[in-house]
Amino acid sequence: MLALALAISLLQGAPQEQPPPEDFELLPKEAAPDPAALQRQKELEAKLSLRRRMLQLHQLGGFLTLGSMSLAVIFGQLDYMDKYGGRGDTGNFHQWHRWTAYGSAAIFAATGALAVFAPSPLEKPLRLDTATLHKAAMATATAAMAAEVVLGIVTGSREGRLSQRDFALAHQIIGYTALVATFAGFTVLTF
Amino acid sequence: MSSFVLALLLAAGQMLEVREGALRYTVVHKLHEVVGTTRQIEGRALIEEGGSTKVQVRAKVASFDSGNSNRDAHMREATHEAAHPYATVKGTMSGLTWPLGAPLSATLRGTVELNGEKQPIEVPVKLEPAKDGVHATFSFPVSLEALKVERPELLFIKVDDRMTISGDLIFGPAK
Repeated sequence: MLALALAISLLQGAPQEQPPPEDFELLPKEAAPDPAALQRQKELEAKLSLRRRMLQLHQLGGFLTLGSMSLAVIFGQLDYMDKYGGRGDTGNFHQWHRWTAYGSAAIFAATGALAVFAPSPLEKPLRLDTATLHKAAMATATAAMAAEVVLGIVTGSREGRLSQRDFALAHQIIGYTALVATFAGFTVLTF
Repeated sequence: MSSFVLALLLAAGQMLEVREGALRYTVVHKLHEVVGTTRQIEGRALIEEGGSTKVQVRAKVASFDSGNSNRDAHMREATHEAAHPYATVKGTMSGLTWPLGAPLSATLRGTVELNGEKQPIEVPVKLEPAKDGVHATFSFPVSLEALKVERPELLFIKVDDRMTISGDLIFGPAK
């Protein structure tokens, strides 16, 4: 009898584990996902992960695009001044412009493709925000780059004709347009 | 079962629920500050006899709007929203009476849950009497790393580890 009383008193005296203060639910618990929902979650996570990798490469490509386009425009301007600005048409910058232009066009296309083909599994409402402005600026730059490639080839093929200068001027103006649109597309992302 | 538990809880004190308000997160990037806001909030507070109060407030991660749909999608990705759809604050505070007669400052001790991870928090809360209820405002920092959230980055620069969560909620008697 004494032992029983002692045991009870010990039990009563033993420190009881207190539940953590937030161990309660005032709101309905979330329903546990079914296997189909879990599968959808996995697929969504995989697509988001791929999207993230592609967009990180897109950012890297963006920096390379800015650099290579700037070089192409600088060499293009030097080539234009050399040919039409009374500097003797030495052709010193022609190959530099040609290859930086081809390079920047290739980098531009690859960078754009990374964004265009990245999976976009989450619904995103269309609205005017920095991402939309970025896309608008880059769409302008893409159109300008496409025209630039064509005009560059046409301008090159007009060697020896009077019209070459007009084509070169158009090529120059559209080149600057592409560069400004690309820098604008970059800048809006920083806001 | 949960309604039975709630009925028992109601019998034990005054149950309040969020009528309206906003929850915000603020993250800082070298180039700018981002504020995401939601007004789709679920929340209840149970004021028990003696003034001890249990509070639970949550919002769907997908409902936060930062003004940039790409950024919101990135945030949902970083917090694994598909698997953990809610951001939740839960805790207790003391010294409340119902109805609230005068403005009061209290401290909510509990946890914030995001990305399936919990972090203990102490949140200073300002309470003011409002029409048929209580107006609560609060703000507290959390560590993204502690919540195992991969910090979003822009132009290869990550946002700061410190994220501030703030709220402005009107509670009224539960219907």
